[in-house]
Amino acid sequence: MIELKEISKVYGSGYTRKKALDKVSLSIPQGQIVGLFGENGAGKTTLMKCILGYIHHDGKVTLDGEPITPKNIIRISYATNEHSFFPGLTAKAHAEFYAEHFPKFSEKRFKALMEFFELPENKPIRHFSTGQKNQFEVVMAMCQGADYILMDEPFAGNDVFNREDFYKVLLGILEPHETVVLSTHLLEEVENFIGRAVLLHNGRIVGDVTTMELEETGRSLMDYVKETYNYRSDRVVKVIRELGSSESDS
Amino acid sequence: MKERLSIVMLAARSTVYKVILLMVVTAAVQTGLYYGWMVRHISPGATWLVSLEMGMSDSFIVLVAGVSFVILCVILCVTGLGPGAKSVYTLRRLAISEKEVLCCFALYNTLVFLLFWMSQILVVMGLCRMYEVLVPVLCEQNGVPISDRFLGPQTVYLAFYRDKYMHSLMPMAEISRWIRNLVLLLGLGICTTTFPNSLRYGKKGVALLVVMVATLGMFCGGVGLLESDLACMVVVLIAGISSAWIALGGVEDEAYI
Repeated sequence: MIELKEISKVYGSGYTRKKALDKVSLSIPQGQIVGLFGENGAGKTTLMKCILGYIHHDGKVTLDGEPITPKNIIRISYATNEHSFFPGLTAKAHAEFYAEHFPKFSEKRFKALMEFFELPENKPIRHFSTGQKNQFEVVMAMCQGADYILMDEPFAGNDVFNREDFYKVLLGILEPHETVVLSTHLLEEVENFIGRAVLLHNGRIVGDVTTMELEETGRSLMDYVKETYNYRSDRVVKVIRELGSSESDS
Repeated sequence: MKERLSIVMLAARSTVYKVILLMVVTAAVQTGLYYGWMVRHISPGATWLVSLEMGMSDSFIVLVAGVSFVILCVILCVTGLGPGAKSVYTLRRLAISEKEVLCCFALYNTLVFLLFWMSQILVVMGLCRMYEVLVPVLCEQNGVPISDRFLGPQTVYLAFYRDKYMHSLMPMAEISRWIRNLVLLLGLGICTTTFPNSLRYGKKGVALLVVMVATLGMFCGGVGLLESDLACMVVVLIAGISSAWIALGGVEDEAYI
């Protein structure tokens, strides 16, 4: 289980000071598929980077009770839209490198996902399109053999068919012990894929619900998100009405 | 061990072709320049033959080597893991620590500089051989008298003592110069590794500039300049050790707290 205890992160200082995370506590047990939602700047990416120890933060992150160090970090993989691959290497060279460093690297899954996305194995990644780069990033995160797979907006820029198909494939190939933490804006697309939704707002967790709980209350994920964020649907009508009347006055 | 080797291979894969190309182009340019110098100076009407080492200094061999050295530093610093991605995210998820990763990169970079040094020795020896073979032919063709002073059995051996660049490349019996060269290799290997790392953590990579300037300014030295060699070593050691200290400290702070 990944446990975050009172994680806080502040960027900048003085006028540029911004609290990205404010005493966030969260437990992610093995085997869950967790959707991490929030507006831009809510703290989703920062939260993932804190889990991986990429940035300074206050608070404690543990993996099965142990701090995350080189000894256990290979149990976590990360797919990011910033891309973490080696641009000069081919996909095949990446597979060789991963096989060297991650004992549970799955060659079989690598081949299958490369085929699924129709990605070339012998072309340096820098020559891939943006969509292909995103797909490759996901492929490597999925094949590392990690227990926890963190995905930060993995399909930004990919078409809807690719995304939907991938979610289906993902559900089919995930082992029971594998955990996915997926940060995305695409609520409706992942609604049927995730088992739990965590909502972040201004660096705080404002909602944490399982899809089973939502089903029991007869609400959709979108309804839950709107409720949690106090979404005011009337503001759209209001602004149109106001602009419409001011333009007709002039 | 295999894991560390794969890190070295990772660094090699992204730069080795550029490094080899750079060395080949440098060798070709230097050979062309030296050949041109020989042809120009052993022409009809020339009354005396010029020396091997004079050709080394007159044909911009050293300048080409200097430019090539700067390009090599840039290749190792800028190219690194390749722009367009944050590969460091993957490196920081490996079972070996980022400090070890940095050490692997420093080892590779040091080996590259060693290779560059060796390639320059080979080029210079090749030029010496070219001088020995072509000078009699060109002199005969152009009616220039050959003097023992400029072409004899000791010509190449003496040139390695007389010419500053040749002597610094292969300092023969001057142990302090060999040691200085090894310190330079190590300093350059460390600083080209820590430079991009320092920038990533918002620090300045001044150490590399210091070592580069020291190399460019102090590499070519005549025989017996022990003080100059010592000064160069002290500067490079201070720069190398401090940059390694800062870089490794930064890793500790940023990665796992």
